[in-house]
Amino acid sequence: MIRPPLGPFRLASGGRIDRQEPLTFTFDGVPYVGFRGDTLASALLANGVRAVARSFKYHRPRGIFSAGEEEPCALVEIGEGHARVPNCRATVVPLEEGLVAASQSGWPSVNFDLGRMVDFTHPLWPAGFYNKTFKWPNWKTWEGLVRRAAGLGRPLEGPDPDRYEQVNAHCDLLICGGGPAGLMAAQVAASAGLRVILAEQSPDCGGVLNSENIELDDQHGSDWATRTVSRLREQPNVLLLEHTVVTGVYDHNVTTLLQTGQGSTWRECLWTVRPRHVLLASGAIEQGLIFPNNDRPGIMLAGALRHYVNRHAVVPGTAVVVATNNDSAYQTVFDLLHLQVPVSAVVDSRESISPALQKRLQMAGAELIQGACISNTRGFGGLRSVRIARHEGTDLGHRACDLLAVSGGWAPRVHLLAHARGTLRFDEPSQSFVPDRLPAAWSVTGAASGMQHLQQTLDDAALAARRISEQLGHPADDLAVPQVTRGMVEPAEVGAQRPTASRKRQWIDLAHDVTLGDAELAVREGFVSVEHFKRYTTTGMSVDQGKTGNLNAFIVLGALTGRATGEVGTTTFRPPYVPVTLGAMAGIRSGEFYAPRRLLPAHLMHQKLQGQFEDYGWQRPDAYPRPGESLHDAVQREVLAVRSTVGVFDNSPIGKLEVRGPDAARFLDRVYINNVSGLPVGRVRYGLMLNENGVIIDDGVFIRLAQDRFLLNTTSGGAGRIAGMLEEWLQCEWRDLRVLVDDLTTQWACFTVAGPRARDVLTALGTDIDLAPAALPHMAAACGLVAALQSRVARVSFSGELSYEISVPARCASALLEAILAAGQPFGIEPYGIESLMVLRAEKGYLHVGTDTDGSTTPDDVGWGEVARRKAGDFIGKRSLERPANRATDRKQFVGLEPIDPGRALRPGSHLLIGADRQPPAVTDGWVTSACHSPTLDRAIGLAMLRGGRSRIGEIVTVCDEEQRFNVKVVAPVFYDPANARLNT
Amino acid sequence: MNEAVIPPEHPSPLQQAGVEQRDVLVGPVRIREITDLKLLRLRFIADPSNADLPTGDLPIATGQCDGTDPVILCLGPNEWLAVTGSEEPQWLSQLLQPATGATQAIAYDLTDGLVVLRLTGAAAPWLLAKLSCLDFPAGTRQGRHCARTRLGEVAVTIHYHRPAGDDWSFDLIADRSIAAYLWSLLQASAPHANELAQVSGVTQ
Repeated sequence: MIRPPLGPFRLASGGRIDRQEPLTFTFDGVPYVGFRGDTLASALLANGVRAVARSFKYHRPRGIFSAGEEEPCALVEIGEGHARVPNCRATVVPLEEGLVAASQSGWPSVNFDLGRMVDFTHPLWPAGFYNKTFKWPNWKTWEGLVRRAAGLGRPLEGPDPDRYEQVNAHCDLLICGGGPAGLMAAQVAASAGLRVILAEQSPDCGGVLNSENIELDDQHGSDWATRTVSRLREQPNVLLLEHTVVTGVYDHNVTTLLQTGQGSTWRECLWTVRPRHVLLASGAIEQGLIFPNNDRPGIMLAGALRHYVNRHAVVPGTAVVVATNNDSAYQTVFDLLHLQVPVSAVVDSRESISPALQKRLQMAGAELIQGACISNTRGFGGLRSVRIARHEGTDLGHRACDLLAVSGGWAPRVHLLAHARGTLRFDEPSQSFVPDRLPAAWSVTGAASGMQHLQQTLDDAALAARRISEQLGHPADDLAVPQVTRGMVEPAEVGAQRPTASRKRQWIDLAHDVTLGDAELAVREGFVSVEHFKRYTTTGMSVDQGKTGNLNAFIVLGALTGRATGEVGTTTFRPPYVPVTLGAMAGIRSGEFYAPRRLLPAHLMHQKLQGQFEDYGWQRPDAYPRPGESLHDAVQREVLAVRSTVGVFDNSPIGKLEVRGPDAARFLDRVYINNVSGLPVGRVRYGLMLNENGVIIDDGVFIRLAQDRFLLNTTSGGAGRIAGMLEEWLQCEWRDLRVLVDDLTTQWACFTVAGPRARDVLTALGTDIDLAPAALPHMAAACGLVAALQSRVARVSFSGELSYEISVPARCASALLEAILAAGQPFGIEPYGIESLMVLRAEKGYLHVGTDTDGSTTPDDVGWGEVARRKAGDFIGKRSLERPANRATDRKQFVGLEPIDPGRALRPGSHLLIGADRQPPAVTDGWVTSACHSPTLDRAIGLAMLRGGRSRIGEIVTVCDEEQRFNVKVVAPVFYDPANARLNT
Repeated sequence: MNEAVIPPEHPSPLQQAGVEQRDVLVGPVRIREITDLKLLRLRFIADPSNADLPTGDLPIATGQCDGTDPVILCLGPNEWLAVTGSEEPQWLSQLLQPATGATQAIAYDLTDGLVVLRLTGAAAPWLLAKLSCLDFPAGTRQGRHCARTRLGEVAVTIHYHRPAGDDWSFDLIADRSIAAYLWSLLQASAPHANELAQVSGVTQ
């Protein structure tokens, strides 16, 4: 065999690689060379790299076991710095120029790992060891150590620099898999005019046609695949997605696809596809064999070896042994012998093998050992030899080899079918689970349905596509199905897995280091249900989700418990089929696009005023600090300005719902605990809304604009929610009422001018509204011109000062704010922000729903019980207020708090214990809901919910603020102007 | 009608948010703010005993659009959006003429509460498909229509139409407060949409 210079295990010719384009890459810092068309795995194998990882638990060296997404061992890190991606399967990473890859387990290196001490002491670490061992003193003590030892990659330490995309798509037919079955079906469906999406996880469609020596209509299978792909690409109704894995199927066949970017500005794209029909053409996965020490580097699946030989022109060994329980591995033998690669022995666990195969093997010159198995392997860092024995134990000696190809049969890729709640049955001849009952709008074809013959696959795929097209109303023309003129050896009847009686460890799940001994222990301890067995042993729970080990685990469990495998059943396959990055799930929704940013209509003006913004659902200024001024100081200054002169606040986000219709008042009487019908036109009232449980859900003022027309102000964050709730009551419960509810929140900008000089500012602005207290008293509203703008003015206050809320169309927001600031300048007007407003309303003891209330607060708790009780008519939540729990006298009630030390700051969330100098542990008697330093009173104040609070005015209670304890006096919640003299100025 | 009288010199939603360039081309997708439209929400308060609303010539199937100026979008049962370029909505009284007797017709001027962003170009359906789960490419076969959906996390009404001498285009009608967010989101998503359109065409 000729060895070319680029890679000691690369064949001189053959393969679907571009030898004109060598690519350099590094693995663990060592430079290597591969070719365009290689995967990282094939390039490493070509360069003779055997151990690429350490096992999860025992830190044993591991090599490359498979050639696809099912890889259980070769998990590596790709990239550097913040762009580093852990847990990549080397078998599906396309080789790129300059690729940097590294092993992610093993210290100090993957070839010499001190963690292997665990392997040498393995009897101490059986299945479930950490459940039993690491609970003393507690799991947290050990967690860091165990996680570091496990070696499943390191998370990124900084923001992910990659870009991720998302897209939605609809189609008539989604074909999962671009192998021969998928391509055939796509051709038929496309010719019928269906909108087809075909997803193929490999870089190119064709599947086995690209990695086996198959001929269709006397041409190489890969040529047929290439031609078919070209034809499909020309069809406008076909979307062909390569590098794309179908990761999950959800309700109504909503399906997610993960596409990997190739030379794109994005790394991954998550597709959400809504197909009318799904055709599963995902093929099958070869399974391993169970025998002692079956995990050494150099042991790989027979089909994977063919893949590397035929597709990548790599033979990763010099002396090969093949072990199998089915016919398909013989194709590997023939392919190797064709390339003059010696095969020392073929070990077949079955007693009888077809004479034709025997003859063909004999002619090729390979030794066949029937009715035997591998009884042990040797090789510290990689395979050096295998020992062969009869099933009953007769030793047949050893064979020196550095490559062992194994085949334990093929399991259809039915994971997506299971996501869609299709059912499976165990098929004895193929020793695998195959589709049984299909979900609605689902079809399965090819190897995924258990078919073993390529011609049968092609015929069935064409038939399935025709059937689907007819079902969807697009009858398909007859399309010629290519004839297989040169096939491959099919699996035929698969022999049962026959683990030896050896005491040496025999791996079932390579990814999670689960052995036959672990399975036996689990059964001894009573974990005989397949779901319990899985969780106890953790088989199938690693990154690969047991794609090459689960089937063997089910077979072993059946054997250990005396049940048929079909009776054991399978565990539940759940999405995602392969690991999906969090970045792909988030898509563009990070950074500035993490959530919608709602801007005030006068946003630019607030920026100019140096507003310090915070997200309250809207971007709103907390306050307007001057240069060198802290936020706290700015708040104190702004509050004092409102109390002493005048301030302006942008209240635009406040909910503005218009309720209209002949029955509007009747409707709102049922919505608020307050009387609405009696409110005169042009007057305003404060109201509380409850849910059916009598709990406060929103508050605000409502204005009667006309006899049949109201404007409801809701909390800023509650506008949409309350509009929806009102609509629901109208549509579902009170369909007899002639009422419309419309959310006009963003149509109007709203500014509050508050303070003793507020009326002066409005006068200076110029208005045709009579501002005299008699004409426009507190809780009254009027329409007119303000600053030459059509406005609606309401005299309401959330600060306790004389206050006007001026509403204008949103487009006029900046103009009005500018005019207010100019008009207010002679009076020393200050813009004030949310934080200042919160201090103003706390001083006044005004309730802030959501801050001072929670999901249990009733009107009586906050001092509005009498209003609710006096109301004669029914309203939402009224009945619930009569429940004993809502009438209890020891409910938590809204009170004010004054620390004994006036400088001692309260913190919201601190717990209260009734009585002075109390110490926890104790059942809490309440908590601080709002707290601030009042610049007006020059002391700390707080609002709280306290058990039986109203009867405790004047008492001392203890505040528990984390480790601090101090006493506060319970007072009425109104700290400032309890007589409302300033409001009614 | 509410009392709003809008002085024409006041800024548009994007201008208020500080966006200066309000007509951009990202590959083949053109994204621009449309500011010369008036938007009115139409509803009827009818006697519940009378099941049929006197809707006259209004489209009654959700998603249906009728007319040229105004264009009437049926957003849902008893909910229409009139989109017009005319300053004096003389048409309004004619439109609502059938609403008589026990039925009261109501029109809310929402021009100031909403923003209109127009998408045109071959990749526009893919741009929308990136942000919403509706089947936009199939929609082009349906002709002019409208739908309410979510783009990213933003609630929008999409009016799919064909202005004179233009390609098919989509008007996105959304809350004024998220105008800048939506504008940035569309621009950030457009390059990938262009890529998709090149690879996949628009008929998919």
